Amino acid sequence: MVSAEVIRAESVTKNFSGNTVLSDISFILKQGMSLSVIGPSGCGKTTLLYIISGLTPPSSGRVLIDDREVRGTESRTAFILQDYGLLPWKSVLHNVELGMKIRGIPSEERRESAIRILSDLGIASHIERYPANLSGGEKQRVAIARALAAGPEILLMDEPFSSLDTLTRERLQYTMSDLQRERGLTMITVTHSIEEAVFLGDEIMVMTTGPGSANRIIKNRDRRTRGFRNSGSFFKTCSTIRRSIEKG
Amino acid sequence: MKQKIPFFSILTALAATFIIWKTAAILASSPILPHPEIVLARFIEEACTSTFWLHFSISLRRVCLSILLSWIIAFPLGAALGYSRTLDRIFAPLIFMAYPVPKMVLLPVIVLLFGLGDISKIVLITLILFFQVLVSTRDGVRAINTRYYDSVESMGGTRYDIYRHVVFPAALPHSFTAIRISTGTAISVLFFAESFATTTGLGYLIMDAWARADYVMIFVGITGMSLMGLGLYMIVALLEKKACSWTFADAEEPANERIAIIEKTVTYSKMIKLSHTVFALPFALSGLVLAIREKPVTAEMVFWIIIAMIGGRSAAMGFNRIADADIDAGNPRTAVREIPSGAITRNEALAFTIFSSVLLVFAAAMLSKVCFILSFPLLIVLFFYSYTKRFTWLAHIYLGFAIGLAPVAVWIAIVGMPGVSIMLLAFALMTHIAGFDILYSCQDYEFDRQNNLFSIPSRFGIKRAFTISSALHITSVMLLASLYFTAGFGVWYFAFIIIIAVLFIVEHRIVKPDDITHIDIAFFNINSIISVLVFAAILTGYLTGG
Ligand SMILES: Nc1ncnc2c1ncn2[C@@H]1O[C@H](COP(=O)(O)OP(=O)(O)OP(=O)(O)O)[C@@H](O)[C@H]1O
Ligand SMILES: [Mg+2]
Repeated sequence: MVSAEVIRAESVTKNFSGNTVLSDISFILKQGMSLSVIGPSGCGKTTLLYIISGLTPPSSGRVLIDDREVRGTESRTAFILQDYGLLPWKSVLHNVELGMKIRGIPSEERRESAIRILSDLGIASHIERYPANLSGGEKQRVAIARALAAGPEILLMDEPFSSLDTLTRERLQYTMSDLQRERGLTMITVTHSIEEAVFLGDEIMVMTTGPGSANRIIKNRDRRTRGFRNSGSFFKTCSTIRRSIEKG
Repeated sequence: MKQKIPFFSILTALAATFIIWKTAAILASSPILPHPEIVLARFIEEACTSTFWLHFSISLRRVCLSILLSWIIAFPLGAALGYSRTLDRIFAPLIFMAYPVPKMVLLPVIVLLFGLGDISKIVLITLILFFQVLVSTRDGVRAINTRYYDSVESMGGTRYDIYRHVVFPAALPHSFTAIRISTGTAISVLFFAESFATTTGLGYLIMDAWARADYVMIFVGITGMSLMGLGLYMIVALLEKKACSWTFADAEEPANERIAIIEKTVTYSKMIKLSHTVFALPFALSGLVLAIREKPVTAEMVFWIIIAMIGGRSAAMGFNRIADADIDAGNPRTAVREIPSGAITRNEALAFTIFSSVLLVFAAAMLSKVCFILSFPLLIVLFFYSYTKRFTWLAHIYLGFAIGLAPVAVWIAIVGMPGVSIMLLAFALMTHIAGFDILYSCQDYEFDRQNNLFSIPSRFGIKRAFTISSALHITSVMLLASLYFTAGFGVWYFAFIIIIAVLFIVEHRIVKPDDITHIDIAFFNINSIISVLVFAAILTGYLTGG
């Protein structure tokens, strides 16, 4: 399997008013691969995703997507923000249509693909509701639908399942894993959960604080085998990562 | 989440106002503070004059234009200031310098610049509202969580998209709230602006009464201004609710009390089918046209006739919903009605019915003694309808009879003893209503049979019911046609009768005994059109007649 490299981070560094938040982060992510990012609070995970998405420029270093430097947001990159970022004044349907609307896709087409993705995620019955009236799991599904509706190639997720109960969380992890495979998405997931990081990442990047830097990147070769979640390999990778975090 | 009993709280508030006012008036025992009932009587008297409404509408126009103008200018400006740091740095100091300046003192300057007419008043009110809306909108935008911007921007959104999808919708509720809570201020400023160098508006009315030491009139003006303020407040609150429904989506947030009242009002008007009153009003007005030929009619009479009509109709509908609550609850078609669904409690509906009945009796009393006396048996006749379907299939005819009384009642109020023409009209309406009520009740065929309720379809079957309905409608057209000869109408009257006949045919074409699915809005609309056409026919007949 020879895949082209899609995302390349080259010594990405970020300072906020003199404080170095990210220092010298480098990695390469190939097409259709998934990277999990794990690390303590405040180590700059969100900041890293902002830089990759083009919302924030790096202080030095650069991010390349398909060999072109990222200089602003692009429609092939979808970003699910830490608290979903659903607009409270728009119904579920309008939230999901938003990305397509911004890109000027005609309204019928918009509606059609929004409803298709919402039914794929099992929330088509809620399209008229406002986000305030949704449960956490439903909100998360809407956020995923909104990100995927525009047909992105790259998906960035910032702690997507952190506020959900264990069952919902696992169900959505499976959903996400399937969607990523079906659509061949190149994906980066920021998470605080070791299991989630291992379940969703072909590679796992462990970050440390002061200043935030990539401690190491762990390969997770067996991720795509069947029954991975209950396999010895899964638990072995989990404990490798735990040790790596504890070492700091 | 439902808020209960604002209807009672309105009544309580009214009663409390009355009691406090009355007490104060007794204690003061001075002509300067007149008693509330005297003010009310005078208010009603004035409300029947065009002068009052002229001043009222002039004031209303000034306030409404000011509100509109201030919003149109301040909302986009406030949004831009809130979003753009650069703009804010330049303009915020200016605004905060100007904000606390008492704008009222500028009135003389404004009058010099804009003259004595409407414009100077509108400018002053606009100026004051402008700052309220501007500051609220700006602060509202500043409070927007930046992740919403990030979210839109991450999708490739431009500055335009951010304004369109984030800034404006997020700021809209703030601007509406600002307008809503400034209505009181707006009215005060209006009074101030109207209190000098003008001869129009409620403010002038009050100052003029003051100059003449007509204390009752002062309070009439104050009442008018208060009602205007209250009305505007409620309208803005309703708009706010319509335009910013998402702010009410969060069940955690306590819903605004006033808005709950409005919601309740909407629920009540649904209960009594206020829209159907509009549909029944042509009947009363038809009676009015017939009566005008006999006796002169004053604006005051028309006013009380309409009040009586609304009172009677609301009382009848309210009572019907109470009496039929259990039946309605069992029938899937009517289970959504307000009492079975719990939107209005039985007690509230009862209070409402009593209130409406009192309204009818009061209005009747204002018309004449005969009307007052007759209003009691009339209420019984109206209420009795609710029980007819429990023991006779003639219920449809009875409904037609009860509604057909409307023009007769109007006639009695104006002329006295009913004549031939008015009776012909009453019977035409009776057959018209009975005919379509039969078709309507075909929808409840199964339900009525199961629950031992009487109706023509459940007694004779749907097919025969259709035949009976057709016969009634043919009779109705014939009765209307014969009205031509007794009332001495112009020949144009017949043009309308032909259209009415055609509509009846259409109505009977779109529904068939084996397919009653078309008995719906369209069907109902045809009936409303027919009612309005009956009135149009009579009006035309009268205007073109000899
Ligand atoms: N706009 C900003 N200005 C100044 N400092 C910032 C800014 N954004 C983030 N920081 C700082 O950068 C550091 C990293 O923030 P970031 O949000 O990326 O952490 P994180 O790893 O996502 O944390 P968490 O797991 O709690 O979400 C924090 O110390 C934060 O205070
Ligand atoms: Mg974060």
